[in-house]
Amino acid sequence: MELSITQQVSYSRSELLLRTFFGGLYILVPHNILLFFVRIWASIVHFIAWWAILFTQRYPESFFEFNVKLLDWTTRLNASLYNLVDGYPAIGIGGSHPGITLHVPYPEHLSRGKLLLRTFLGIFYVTIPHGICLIGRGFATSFLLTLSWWSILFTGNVPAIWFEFNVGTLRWIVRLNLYMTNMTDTYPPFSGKPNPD
Amino acid sequence: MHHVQTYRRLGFDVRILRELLLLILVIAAVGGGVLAAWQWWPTHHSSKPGLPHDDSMLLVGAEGKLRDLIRKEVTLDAVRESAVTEGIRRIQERLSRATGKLPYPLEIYVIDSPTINAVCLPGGIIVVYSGLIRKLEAPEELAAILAHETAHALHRDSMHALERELGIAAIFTLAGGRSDALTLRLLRRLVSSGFSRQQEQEADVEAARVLGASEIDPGMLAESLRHIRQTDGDDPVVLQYISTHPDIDLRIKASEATSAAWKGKARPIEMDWKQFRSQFRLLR
Amino acid sequence: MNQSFVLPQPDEVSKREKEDAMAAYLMNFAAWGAGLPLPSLNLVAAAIYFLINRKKSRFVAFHCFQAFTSQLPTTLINIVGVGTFVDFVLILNRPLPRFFWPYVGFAALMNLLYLSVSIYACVLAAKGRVYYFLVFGRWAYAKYYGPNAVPLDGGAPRPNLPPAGF
Repeated sequence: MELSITQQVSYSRSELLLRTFFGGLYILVPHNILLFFVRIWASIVHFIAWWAILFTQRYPESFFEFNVKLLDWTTRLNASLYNLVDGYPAIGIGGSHPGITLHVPYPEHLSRGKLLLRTFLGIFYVTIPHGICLIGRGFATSFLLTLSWWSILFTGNVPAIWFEFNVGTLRWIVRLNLYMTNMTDTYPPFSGKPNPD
Repeated sequence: MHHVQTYRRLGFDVRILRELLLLILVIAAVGGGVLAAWQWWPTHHSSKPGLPHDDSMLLVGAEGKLRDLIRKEVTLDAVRESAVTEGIRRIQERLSRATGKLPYPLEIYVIDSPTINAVCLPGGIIVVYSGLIRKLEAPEELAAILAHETAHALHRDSMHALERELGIAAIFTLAGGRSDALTLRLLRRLVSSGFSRQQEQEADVEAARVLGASEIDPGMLAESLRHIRQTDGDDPVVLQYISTHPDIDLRIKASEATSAAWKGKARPIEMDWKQFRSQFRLLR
Repeated sequence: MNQSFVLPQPDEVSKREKEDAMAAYLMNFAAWGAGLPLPSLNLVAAAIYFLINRKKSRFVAFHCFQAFTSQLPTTLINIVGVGTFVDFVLILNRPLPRFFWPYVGFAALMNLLYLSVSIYACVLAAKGRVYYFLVFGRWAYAKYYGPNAVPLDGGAPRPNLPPAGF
């Protein structure tokens, strides 16, 4: 899977300030109102897909595409809230953002055994280990986000390393999501790097 | 081809109507089957003693909680003197063989009060006021009253009365709460409202059966009611039994008729009634 | 009169269409997926699924329509049951009518019957075949493959018609 967010040449200070003080109102609220309903549909789709995988060993393609688009949407929203991209994040399942690319290859075949393993034991061998690591990573990310805020305010940009780290956090979360929602059989790596070995 | 032409002429597929009929038939068949099974399976109003009526499991759970609440309230005022409890136990023992299997063990409490009444509360808790005991002349009469209340417990009449008066939702609220004030109010409501005519009649029938099977003349119920009916000198406020049982004369007649038809042999309960009754004068 | 469309055979149906058609019948279980035991949720989910998929392929649209419309009887039966319960217990606060528990049994049986037929139709649809429900099968067929079949894209003009009498 590939998630890449292109760092801009420069970031707009006015948008930064607008997002910080009013972002809750004009970004979070509209997105979340719609996301609430779309997530209900997504949970239905997820439930049906679970049974489809159990019997046919395939994730139904239209459902898969729907989920990828939903992930794209939430990634867009998060990227905007993390101040990684400028511009209002497009609302809706069909939306896209120029700097953000999310590509998830369609799995032709999913394993039943792994499905059941994930469902019943997932908490122990996925959620807890990754959760613990993500707590630490979360602190680091918040720290860097705060520094980035000041950096953009004064210099109009952030150091590439910080940027890549924050994108890496998003990448990690997306990978975890993909695994736990049965969209891939690859165990998520404990890293946010684009192509870990 | 003919079918297609008909289709084109009419604009819709006629065979759909046939299928609609079939669908309705299927639904009716399932419904009819369920109705038939329900009729053949009399879960309501069984006359066998010991089997509860068709109450939902929810009510049974609530009743247990109510019993605990009520017991807490009642035991505060209940008489604990061994002379009294022993007498009650003896009467209960005589009746127990004939009462059959009850949904839960009965708890009989005596409250020393001029009130003339005996009530069956939810959960198999029976309360008898000493005002009523003092009016009776023999332990068999008290046995008749207790047999009648036991029948109410068997039929779970108090829960049905509650359900009718307050509604199911209120029962759950009461059962879930720990409010003593609420429980007291509930008790007062139940005590003062009484049961329906049909419930009373059925309790009398069951009581007569139990008395007869316990070697006690069923006419003892008539005797006790006659004594209760004598109200000279009583403060109207305490005449709760009379106010909650409107058909006393009819019941006396019915009990006498049952007694006339009874072919058994009466065996007195071995108990010093005068001494038992005098306990309450001392306790005041 | 529009030209009628031909029912495709299993080998003419793409894998994706088969999957989409199968999912239409699985919308029966939507209420479980969403976690809300409301009787009408299944109907709403099936309706939404139909609205999303009706323009994609005739085969899929047929199955979505059938799955959606066939929900109606059981949904009505369930609504009556749940409505009675809510009414008596929560709103009016009266004891439930004696008739209620047999009705619950009846509703349970009807739901079970419908679910079994649904699953059968689902399995067949996954193989690219069609199964016709009572009443709703003919209705869906008439809508999508009958002589008066609707166009999928909703309105490209079709001026060429067969000569009268055919």
